[in-house]
Amino acid sequence: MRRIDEVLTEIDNLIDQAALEDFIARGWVRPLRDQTDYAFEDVDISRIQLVCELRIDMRLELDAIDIILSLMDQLYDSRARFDRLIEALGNQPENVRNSIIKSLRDA
Amino acid sequence: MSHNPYDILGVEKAASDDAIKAAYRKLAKIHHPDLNPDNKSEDDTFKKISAAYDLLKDPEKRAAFDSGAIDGQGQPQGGVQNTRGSDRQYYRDFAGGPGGARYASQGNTINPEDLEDIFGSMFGGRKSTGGFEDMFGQQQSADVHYRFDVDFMDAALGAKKQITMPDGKSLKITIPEGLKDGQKLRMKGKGQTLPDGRQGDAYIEVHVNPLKGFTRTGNDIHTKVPIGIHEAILGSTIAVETVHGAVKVKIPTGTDSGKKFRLKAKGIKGGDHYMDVQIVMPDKIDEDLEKSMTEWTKKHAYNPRSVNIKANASKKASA
Repeated sequence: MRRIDEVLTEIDNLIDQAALEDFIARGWVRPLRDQTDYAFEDVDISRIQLVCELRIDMRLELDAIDIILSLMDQLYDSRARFDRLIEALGNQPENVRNSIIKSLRDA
Repeated sequence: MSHNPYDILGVEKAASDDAIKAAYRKLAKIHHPDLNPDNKSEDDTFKKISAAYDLLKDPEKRAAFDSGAIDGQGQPQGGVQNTRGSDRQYYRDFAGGPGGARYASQGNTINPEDLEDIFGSMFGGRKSTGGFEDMFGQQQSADVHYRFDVDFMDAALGAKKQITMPDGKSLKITIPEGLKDGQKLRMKGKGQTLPDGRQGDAYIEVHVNPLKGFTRTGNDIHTKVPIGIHEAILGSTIAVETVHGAVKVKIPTGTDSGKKFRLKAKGIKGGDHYMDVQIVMPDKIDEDLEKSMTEWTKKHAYNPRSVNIKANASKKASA
């Protein structure tokens, strides 16, 4: 768990606090909050770095970042659901798994 | 790939700063690992591109490289490799983990409706989801996320709590009976209000504080309960703490250390409470105890090890 000032140092002050708060207001970064402050985890830091790269290095427009993050999140959702489905299929008896493999081959 | 930063970015040695920046931007858009979730080799490519750009965008480092004072990794010639972000973790490294769920647009669990949807699509019947609207509906989130710690007992039995949010407003939350560590509570309409009138939800990630001596697996509780040697030998009825208060448990005569007792439905939400008994020596072995044990030993040849050796030997023989 890191506080906002620790996060800014960790990302080499690529952006200032106002910019980070703007990222949060836009829903690009969604840190946890406790009673007094934000609490950032590793996943949030990697997310901030990604947004900084999209915004600063690649000079993307705000609207473009919205679309990219939205599509990216949907992609990761789909991947996670796909993994869950594969796991569920993997737990099936062998004859069920084989008939799934067969129908995939036939398709 | 070459270690020459000009080659990596694909620019001439005489390229202007703007040309270098443009070349980097173009390559970063293609090779950024988060934009290539399935392609692990992009990690390395992007690392090299970033390192090359870091070197060439800095006039001093660029001049040092041009004069041969440092190598492509920004190190004195022959030095060790140390590129930017060599230990960096990208968002995609977390996306599949628990933290990634916070960024999931619809959650990553499969529920029966999803399955119907998936199977439906196999027969060409997949219904269209909002498409355009769905996509833009997510571009700005009005949801807020909080973290809240609750006591072990409150999580086990359920409780009502009031929390103060960063904006000073207070929020009443109901901790459901049997709440699990890391579980998320959704408070509909308690997020922020966007200028366009959309109202977000508050998500509260609840962490359960541990309680000394109590271990929880699902809805079952495990505890270790000390008993005296007299209780172990003669049997006794003892009081055992559970999440539902103290209950009386009958310890039979000759109870061994490590014996597990199941207290049915004394766990969480109908779960069970398992207690392990541990025989504990008295603080001091007094004269009476010593005397009675000496008397007992004289009359009984009992060696617990010999029992084990025999048991092991017969196991080996049958194996």
